[in-house]
Amino acid sequence: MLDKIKWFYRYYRRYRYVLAVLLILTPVQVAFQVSIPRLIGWSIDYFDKDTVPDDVVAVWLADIGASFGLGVAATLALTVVLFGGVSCLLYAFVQSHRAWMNLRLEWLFRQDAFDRTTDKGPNFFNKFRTGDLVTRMTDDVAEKLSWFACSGIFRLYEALLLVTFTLIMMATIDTRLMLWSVGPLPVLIVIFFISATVLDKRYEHLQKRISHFNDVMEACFSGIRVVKAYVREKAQKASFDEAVYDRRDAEIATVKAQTVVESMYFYIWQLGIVIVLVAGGYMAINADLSTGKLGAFVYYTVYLIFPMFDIGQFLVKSRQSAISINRLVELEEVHPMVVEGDSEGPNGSGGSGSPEDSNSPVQGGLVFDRVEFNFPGSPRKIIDTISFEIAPGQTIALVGRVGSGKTWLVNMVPRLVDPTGGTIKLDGRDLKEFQLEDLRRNIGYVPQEPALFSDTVRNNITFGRKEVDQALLDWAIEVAQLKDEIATFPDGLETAIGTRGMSISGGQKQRLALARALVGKPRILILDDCTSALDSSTETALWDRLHEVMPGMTALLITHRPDTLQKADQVIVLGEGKIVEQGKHDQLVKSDGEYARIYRRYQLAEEIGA
Amino acid sequence: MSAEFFEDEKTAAERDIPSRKAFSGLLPLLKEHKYDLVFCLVLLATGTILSVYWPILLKDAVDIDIKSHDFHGLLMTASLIIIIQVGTIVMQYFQRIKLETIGQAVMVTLKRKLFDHVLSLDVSFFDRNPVGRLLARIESDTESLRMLFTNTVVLVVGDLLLVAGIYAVMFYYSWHLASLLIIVVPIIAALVVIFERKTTRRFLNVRKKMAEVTATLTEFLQSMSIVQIFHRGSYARRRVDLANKAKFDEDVYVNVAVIIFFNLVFFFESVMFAVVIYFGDKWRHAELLTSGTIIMFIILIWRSYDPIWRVSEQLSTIQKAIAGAKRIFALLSEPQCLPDPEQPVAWGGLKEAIRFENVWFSYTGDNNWALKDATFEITKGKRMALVGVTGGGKTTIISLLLRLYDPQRGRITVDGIDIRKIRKADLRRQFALVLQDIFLFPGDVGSNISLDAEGVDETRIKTAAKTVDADRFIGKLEDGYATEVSEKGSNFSRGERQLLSFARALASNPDILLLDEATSSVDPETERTIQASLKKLMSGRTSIIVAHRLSTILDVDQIMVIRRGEIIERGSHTELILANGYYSKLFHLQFKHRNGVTANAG
Repeated sequence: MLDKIKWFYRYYRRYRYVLAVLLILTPVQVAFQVSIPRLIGWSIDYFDKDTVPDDVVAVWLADIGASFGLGVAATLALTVVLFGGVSCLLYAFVQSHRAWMNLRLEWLFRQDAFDRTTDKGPNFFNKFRTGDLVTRMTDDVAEKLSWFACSGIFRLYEALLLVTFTLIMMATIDTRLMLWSVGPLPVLIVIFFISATVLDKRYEHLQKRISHFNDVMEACFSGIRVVKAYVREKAQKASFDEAVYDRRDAEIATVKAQTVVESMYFYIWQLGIVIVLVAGGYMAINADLSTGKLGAFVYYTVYLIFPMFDIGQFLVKSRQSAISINRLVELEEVHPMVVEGDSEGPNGSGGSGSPEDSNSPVQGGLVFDRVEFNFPGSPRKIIDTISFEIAPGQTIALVGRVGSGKTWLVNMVPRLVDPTGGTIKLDGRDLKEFQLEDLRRNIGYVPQEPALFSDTVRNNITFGRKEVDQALLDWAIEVAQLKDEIATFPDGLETAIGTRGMSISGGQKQRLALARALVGKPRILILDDCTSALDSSTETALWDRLHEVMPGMTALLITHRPDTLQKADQVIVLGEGKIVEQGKHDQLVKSDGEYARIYRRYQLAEEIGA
Repeated sequence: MSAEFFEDEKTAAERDIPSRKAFSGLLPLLKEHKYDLVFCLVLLATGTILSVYWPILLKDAVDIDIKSHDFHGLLMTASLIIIIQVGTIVMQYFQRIKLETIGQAVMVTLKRKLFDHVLSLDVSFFDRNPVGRLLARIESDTESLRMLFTNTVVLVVGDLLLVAGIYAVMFYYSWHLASLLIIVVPIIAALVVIFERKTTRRFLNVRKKMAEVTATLTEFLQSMSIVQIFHRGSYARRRVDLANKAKFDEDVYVNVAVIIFFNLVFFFESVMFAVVIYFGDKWRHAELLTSGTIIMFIILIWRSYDPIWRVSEQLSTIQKAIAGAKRIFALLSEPQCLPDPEQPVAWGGLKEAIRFENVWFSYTGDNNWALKDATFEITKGKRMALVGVTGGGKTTIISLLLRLYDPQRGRITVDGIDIRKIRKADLRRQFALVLQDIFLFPGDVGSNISLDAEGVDETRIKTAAKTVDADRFIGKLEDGYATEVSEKGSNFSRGERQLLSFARALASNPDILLLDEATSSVDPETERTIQASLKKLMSGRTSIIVAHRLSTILDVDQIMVIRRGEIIERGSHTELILANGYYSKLFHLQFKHRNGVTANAG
């Protein structure tokens, strides 16, 4: 419980002004609100007896009114309007601040949760699927947490104040009657707890039926080919009918329970009024209580009952929010796999690079020294002691079957993950000694799946990098064979693509991803089988152009293009995390080993157009 | 599917449907229940009248019983009040349940209608509409309609009656006061209209902005590794921040508008009290306004504000429901593209041959041909294998045979009859389709084999399973054939799923087998079982198989090689290998080392 409060306080600290407004103004507003029944009570007494009620404050009010030339009734009426106006004004002010705070907290919770994920490694994204993460950042944050964080807590505060001030007011009129009015309250609390259990069960049952209903539909529509092929429409309708009727029954059962609970709640306040009427009536009959006071009491009874709703809500929602907080905290528990300047870390070589070093141009010479990699918690060595060297400007081709570790190997260069054993050095310095930003700025990476965003073509290529000027942009587009096509887009470079923009073909996406990698004028270019969606003529043109610009860069290519393999300075064949063969294409083919076999398949595939 | 599926794109059809038409299309559904509805309304009216009556009794209690020091009388009145209150609550309970029952009945009818209709639509419709969208239609859109129905009925009838009743009583006891108080009603009505106009669009915007937040989050979370590799975390954070801010801005506006509106309305409550106090004092001698009456007025005024609470809740419900109704209506008017013929030709099974005659087909209806000028014949009892690289057109042939689509040019015949002239159900009943991975439905193993077809009883299920050797692993399951299938069939291995799909095909006792072989491999033991079962399945049966197994292509009578929609080679395996063309290369690439069997043929 305490840690939950600490968690909230982290955010509240920044908004002291709002907190102060809520803490201080709420009791003031409640005070005004709670005065109104009193005023009405005095009015009723004035009606009855034609004299100012024998209350110090009432007399004082009447005097003030008289000094303005107003009768008693007029004074009371005016005061009611005034107090009502102030109460509504204050309440609007307080509520607006609550609403603002709710929404601001929602923004902060979500932003913080997202910001933290930008540092997390692949192990995090394996553990938490995207859909799950999005649900936690939207449903949990918006529906459950943010409302509770402000309104939930402060409405409880307001409810408690209302009940307290009302009881005080009641006590100043007549203590005994106050005790009578409090009567229904314990009943309400009992009702609340019983209903919570019953309702919970019915809701759960209903949820299950709704899920089943959706499952039946989803299965039927996803498998529509099978349904039609086997002429199973009737059977599907029967399943659907069963599910829909079940759901209807569960829904009605839930509404029945809900209505009973609601009716009981509604009834209690009505009963409360009758109790006050009888008890107060008895006292009035014995002249212990004026009718005005009775009237005021009736009104106050209602003020006692409705805050119970808020208190009940608080108890229910606090449970839900605790769960949601846990779901967000869970995300914080997986640590990032790669940390800036981690040379002091478990596999570091100690000592960090000095500021001047990070400004000297990167040459692009890479040395992999007995590199190993396994996923945290998994013993399986994805990379098992790999060592090789690449001189600056060389082109290395990597081949190997699915699961041989190629992608993980190249992912270590931009430090998406770090080796769990051995080191990787760039220009003689351990990768970990570089500032992450400096290191990555020198790398251009094109993944297998293009991964573009809903934004303009320009922004997708520049990826928000301010140092990219028009000349670089034009050059990258030209190399990626996109120049003519972008010219045909409705808004050229400013055309929006993605979910609410134009949809582009797979080949265009891959070329955009390539332009994105090139536009940074990287010293190291990493391409992971990135031209699979292109037709052969575009592919050939693209690679011809690439081979022209690559000499200025160190290139790591995961490919199965026979042409590229032939042109590479070195070919490295990976198998189960180890280097199986290494050398130039001609030499490897001659030795007729694993590579030769693989190469022949690649040739065949190309001929067939696979 | 608990998350709301928000759509900000409308199809052309939806845009053109006016709200009135959408609702009147759905009105007939209510007619069935008209007696129940009337009963409900009667209960509602009675309940409302009673709920206005007991404040009057309260007034009497104060004015009469207390004034005359009659405690016994007070107790009587109080008991009467309790009885009326309880009676009202009970009546309201039954009314509410009845209303809910009607609403549910109407919605069940609507949902069944929708499901029926969607099920009859063609596969091309399902290609265009993701399953999620269809679920949203049949699930959430009908739900918002139902909420509209049950809540709006209460709102319109009940609350109007309540307010009317309250003012009627007030007029009766003091028409002076009441006529002053009633001025508030048009003022509040005007406020509601202004409020609605200013905020409806913004309400929808909030949902839109939230959808964008979700979309942005999803995008970046899915591609976080790329964001990190390019070190563009700040860009991602900024984009999410912008989306958050946009939603925040809209939401704050809407929230504050609602708050101002409500507090303004509630301010009028105090004004009304003040009016009662001031003018009540002025006129009491004229109208004998008693303290009891004042108390009653206070309670009535305060009850008359109940409906205001409900109205605001309804605003967004109404918006959602209107949008939902339009979408439902659009869905119900979606036409079928492959209608059954008016006078179908009867066809009870293959007697002679299946023929494709110059068939051209495109999924997108333009020049993007998936099949070009396909012409071939399969005689009864013969087995044909289709080979080629992915996307060549092999699966298309199977889909066309089942008449899941119609070709743009050419025709397909069975025994010389154009398949478009046969009823789809009759045509499809003669085929059995086996896909790469069996599609499992919620239910148990047995019903997944029989697919709940009449005529496929337990014996047939078990015989089919035994023939394909699936009974062995089914027997090992705790509940045997009654074992529930988990979502996506994850409690079965790949090999077991293959055998189940064979059992399903066999159980339906088809004339013609259509099989799309799995590309993934299993362990040699399972592979042997699958090959044996497949042989049994195919024996003596007309079969068309998209082949990926060496054993299959060695077993069939004819092979057709398909490349980019064209049939480029045909013949037996040996003939094609000798021809040393495309097939020969394909064979070496795809088949030679498959399934742990190194082929020496060719």
